Amino acid sequence: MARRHTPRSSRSIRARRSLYHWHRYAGLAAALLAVVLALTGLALNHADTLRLSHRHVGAGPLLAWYGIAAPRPVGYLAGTRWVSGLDKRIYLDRQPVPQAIGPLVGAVRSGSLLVVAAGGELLLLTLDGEPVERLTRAQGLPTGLEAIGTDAAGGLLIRTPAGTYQADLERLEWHGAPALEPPRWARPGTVPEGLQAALRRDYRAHILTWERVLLDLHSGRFLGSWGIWLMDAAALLLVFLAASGAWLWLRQRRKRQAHRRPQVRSR
Amino acid sequence: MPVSATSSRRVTVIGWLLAVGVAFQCPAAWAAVYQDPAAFVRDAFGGHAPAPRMLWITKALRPAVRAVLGHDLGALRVRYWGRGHTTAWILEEVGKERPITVGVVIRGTRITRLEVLIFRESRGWEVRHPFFTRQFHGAGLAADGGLDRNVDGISGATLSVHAVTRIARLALLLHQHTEFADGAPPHPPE
Repeated sequence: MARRHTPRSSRSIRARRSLYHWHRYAGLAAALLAVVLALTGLALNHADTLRLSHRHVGAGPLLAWYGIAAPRPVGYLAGTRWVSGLDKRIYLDRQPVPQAIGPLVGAVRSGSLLVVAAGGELLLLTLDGEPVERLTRAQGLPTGLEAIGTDAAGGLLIRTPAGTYQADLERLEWHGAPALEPPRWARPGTVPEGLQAALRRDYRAHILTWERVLLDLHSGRFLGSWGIWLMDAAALLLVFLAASGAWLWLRQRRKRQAHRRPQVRSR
Repeated sequence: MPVSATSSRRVTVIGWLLAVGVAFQCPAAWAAVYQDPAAFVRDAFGGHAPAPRMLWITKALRPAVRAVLGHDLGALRVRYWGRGHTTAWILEEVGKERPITVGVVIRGTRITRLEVLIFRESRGWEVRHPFFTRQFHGAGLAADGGLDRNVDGISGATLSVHAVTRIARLALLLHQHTEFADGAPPHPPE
């Protein structure tokens, strides 16, 4: 006997078909975003192992997308070596000086050392660029380092908002400097064009990490504020897919069980 | 099928919650100074810090330093303060991305005090608490260059824990190469 469809069962059938269609459309809509979410999430889960925060993007289009442009280098001629700063990256000629981080405020030659003032710290280098020592507030360096220079006798001077100090690098002492003669503060010079271009290229290649890019892709920020909403929508669609998929599976399972029961009774 | 106003509001709320959750995952740069390094050194010597000394990282010492840190120290010399058989060190090591400044006092062959002085990361700051730093008190170097005791980690602060542990090992190693180490000729008082 043909099964009679009551109005109630017709509505139920239509609802199930509708849910099936929505499940399919949600899957299609979320497919690409789900793949992006999954793959970026997978990579970020192993960010430390993959050292993503230490790998930098060198691709021009990606750097351009982020609007990363190299600033004009600020350079100080210390002896015969150029000490240049681009944002927080410091260079000795073309060589990065990773031990110095921060805005460069001066560089001088003091005896057999190059003294670089950056980020509120002093970095002492050999004339070959080998780091000798980094002096910070931990070694009593006065805070707010604004400039470095030399006095008439070649002694190292530093200037802070609190005043000018004569530096005794051996004893790590910082004495108030008497204003007998005007200090010779390090002044920025004109970095040669070839060196500027090389520094800018290196700077751009060491700013954006792959971790940053993956985080932005994962969150949707890569596409700006609308991208965040897009990823929110993808996440909600995945929740809907899981719920609707489970519901449809449960309905199908009950239907199969209901079909099997009359066959068992008729034997 | 029209979306009801209630459903729309629910989606908006959930969306904002997700966005806020993402925002809080983004590390922001900050630094917390728990103790001034100069004050730490003064405290280590009863209020009167001796003049700082320099320990040169010689070619012979570099492999041992590299074995402890996993990289070169990045400096040819290190400052420290010493009196009797006690030395105090202010050392830094990168946790995840930013350096952690740690003060270490060593007497004889053992750490008597270890404090996190300046912390610059956005995560892992739990290492500054005494429940963690106390583990290093009395620690010495084992024959293999590691610490002679197990240090319990902190969930979510693994990199900071490792950084502080490396600093402890480094301080113990460097102490052995100063004139204040056990077995070295006694240093005349200043």
